[in-house]
Amino acid sequence: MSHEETIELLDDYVSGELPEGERAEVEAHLHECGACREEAAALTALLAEAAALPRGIAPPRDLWAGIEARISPAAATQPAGEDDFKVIPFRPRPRWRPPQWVTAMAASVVLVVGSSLATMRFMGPRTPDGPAATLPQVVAAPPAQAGTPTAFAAFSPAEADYRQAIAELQAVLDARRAQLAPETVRTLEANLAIIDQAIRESRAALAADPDSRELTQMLSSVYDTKVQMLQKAVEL
Amino acid sequence: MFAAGAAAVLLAAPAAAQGRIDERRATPATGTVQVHNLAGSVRVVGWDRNEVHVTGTLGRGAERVEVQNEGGRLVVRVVNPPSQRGNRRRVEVQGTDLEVRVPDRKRVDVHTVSAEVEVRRVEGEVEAHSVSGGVAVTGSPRAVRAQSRSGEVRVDARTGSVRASSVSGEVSVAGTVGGRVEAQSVSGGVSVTAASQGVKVESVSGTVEVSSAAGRAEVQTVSGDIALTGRRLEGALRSVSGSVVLRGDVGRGGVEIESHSGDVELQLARSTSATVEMTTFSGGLENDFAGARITRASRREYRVVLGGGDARVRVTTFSGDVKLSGR
Repeated sequence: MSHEETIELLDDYVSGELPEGERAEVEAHLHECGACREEAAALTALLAEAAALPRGIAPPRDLWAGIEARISPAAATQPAGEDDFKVIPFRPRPRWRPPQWVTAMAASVVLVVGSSLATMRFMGPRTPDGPAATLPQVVAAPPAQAGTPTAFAAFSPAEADYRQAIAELQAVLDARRAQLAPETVRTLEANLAIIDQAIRESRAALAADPDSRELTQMLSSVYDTKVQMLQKAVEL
Repeated sequence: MFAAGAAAVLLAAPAAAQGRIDERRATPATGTVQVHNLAGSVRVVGWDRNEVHVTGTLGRGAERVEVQNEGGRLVVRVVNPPSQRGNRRRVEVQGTDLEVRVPDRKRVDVHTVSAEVEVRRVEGEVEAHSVSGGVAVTGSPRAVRAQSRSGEVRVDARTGSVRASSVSGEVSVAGTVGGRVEAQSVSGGVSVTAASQGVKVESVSGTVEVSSAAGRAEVQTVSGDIALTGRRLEGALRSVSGSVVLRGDVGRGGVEIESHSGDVELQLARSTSATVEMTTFSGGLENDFAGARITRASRREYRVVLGGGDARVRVTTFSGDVKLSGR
């Protein structure tokens, strides 16, 4: 392989993207050419520096901690009620009281969800066969009535963050699809579909019972899983 | 720069005659030995001499094996021939089988594409990467980092810590790990039977089995099933559609289990003293644990007290059923 050809392929070589045959040829040239070795070393150092930089996409990390803080006001017990069983509560159950920020936020919930949708539209139409095509449809949380905001409504801003992070990560993953083994792509897509089904189910249940703290946590947890899986996938 | 490159080649070992490789270099007891071989196999074995001894068979078409110092490391590299200048056709090269004896306290760093990697009796850190070849590490290395994209990764060692990963290959970690085991896969199964101070496993669809962890076990999958077995179990197990099985008894740190649609089985020792708090949207609770005291805190919450109720198990499912039994 010539010096010029090697220089052309060095980027792919240092990032590990060359097929085996070409990689061997580049390595053979590197053994003979000090200038190319120096160039390869400089590119490798540059990649290492780039890898050490903070990631441009900062997906939400375990947003539930913040969400929980918002929707768990001062403890007040609530009778469990409807069962024939003798009831022993796990812990004092909080009566829902709207945190101040929720009341303020209630009017903007639709705007936030709309903004999220706009962001996704801005990112372009989804291809029918891409993983992004499996993103569940966002149905806006029931609007919070003054003084009676729901856990679902309180979750909406966080959901918008999740969805934005997911859309960005999926765009990165889509761009890298060709570099992944077909079997790996199939596995990732099948499992993203499983997560999306879980999101749809949790969301539908929460829409029917928008005060449920448990369902809100379940939905948050599934979103966490999706973000984490995508984070790992784009690093493959 | 060209002169320096030429000098490096001149210092390299000459091409092996008739495909046999037999190269020796004196080297300090510590430092790093790095081995590069695209295809074939690499076996690195520690010994008690301050010498690196490279033996094996050069693959047909491979040019030579270089053994040289590069930036303070001793590098063993299989060199394949360059194609004719200006001609991009691929050169037919067969795999080279290498056995590299190294001072046992050396740090070992192996890189291959399809070559199988085996590292034995090395006491320094071991790092091994392959694209499609399997990686196996045994002995008493200070720490192990082993990785393959599609090959199997096996670590059976007495070591300080282990990081093992594969995309589609199986990953197994056995032996004794003084610190923590971290393992990852996408579709390959993961088995951790090593005694350790903590385990963290992430898999997408691969089955995960963890036993003998003395510390916390943190396991997460999407569709892969999870099984955690042992005494005084502690940790967090999380799946979307995979089943989760907990076998043994529960430590003071407790266990948190989350599954969306996968079923959860708690096969707990009859002597277990724990409180199981369960939240489910549409899943059911089946109890075969004799003496369990069950109360229902709300439409979606159950509380099960076993023995004195000391340790805490928290189970959350959306639609997955929960089965509790004694063993």
